[in-house]
Amino acid sequence: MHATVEELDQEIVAELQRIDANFGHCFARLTRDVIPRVRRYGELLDEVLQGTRWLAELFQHTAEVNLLGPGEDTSGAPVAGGGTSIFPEDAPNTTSTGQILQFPDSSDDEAERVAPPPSASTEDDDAGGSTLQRQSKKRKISLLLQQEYASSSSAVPSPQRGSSHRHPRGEDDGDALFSSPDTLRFPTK
Amino acid sequence: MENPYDKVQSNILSRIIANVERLNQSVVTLNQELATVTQKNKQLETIGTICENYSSSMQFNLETTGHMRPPNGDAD
Repeated sequence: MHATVEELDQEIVAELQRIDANFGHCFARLTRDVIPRVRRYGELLDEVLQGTRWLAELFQHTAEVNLLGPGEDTSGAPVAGGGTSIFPEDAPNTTSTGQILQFPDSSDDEAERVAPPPSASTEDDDAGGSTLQRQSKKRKISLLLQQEYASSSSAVPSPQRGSSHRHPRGEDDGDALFSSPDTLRFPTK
Repeated sequence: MENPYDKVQSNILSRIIANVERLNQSVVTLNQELATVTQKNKQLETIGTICENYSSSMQFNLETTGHMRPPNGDAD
């Protein structure tokens, strides 16, 4: 019995020594290998950050400048190019509000057909009789007029406005175009 | 009668306690270093994301406006 107790005691001592050795080994590996390598990694990261700092400042100042520049959005969204637009400035088709007036490609030919043959179109109107067609033709005419007036017009004139517009070509009957929303008249020559 | 192994075991246990204490301290130091490294990594990741966004925006812009040019070949 005493022998077994002693054997057990010896085994306990040996086990404790192994535990102590393992802990010491962990401590040595951490202190000697891991921590210096992590520090070295941090120093290299510092150098990389130092090298990219100018780039970060560049992008930062780009965002900051757009907030203070003219014509920016209130939301502070960055504008491309720092004031220079990628879109070419076509003055005749842009209003002061910045809207670009352009006919859709399919309606360009129809817009040209609207002004010259007024008598034929009135016959077509009488024949067609749909308000949608009249409204689309009204829109095309108003856009044509805006193109001629260029940037002088501040807003898209609605067809329902009073007859304050004068056609530059001297067609006084053009006022009748905007007299009433439902009727569409073309100048008769 | 005192067991002689008790003293030996208590000595070993005290050594274990000291080792664990030092190990704890080194793990705390390692944690601090790793926190610093993580913070710097995040900054670098942000810069990388910004550069990627800029690159994709420029790519799209050049392709859309038609100013995209093929890369210049190396002169032989």
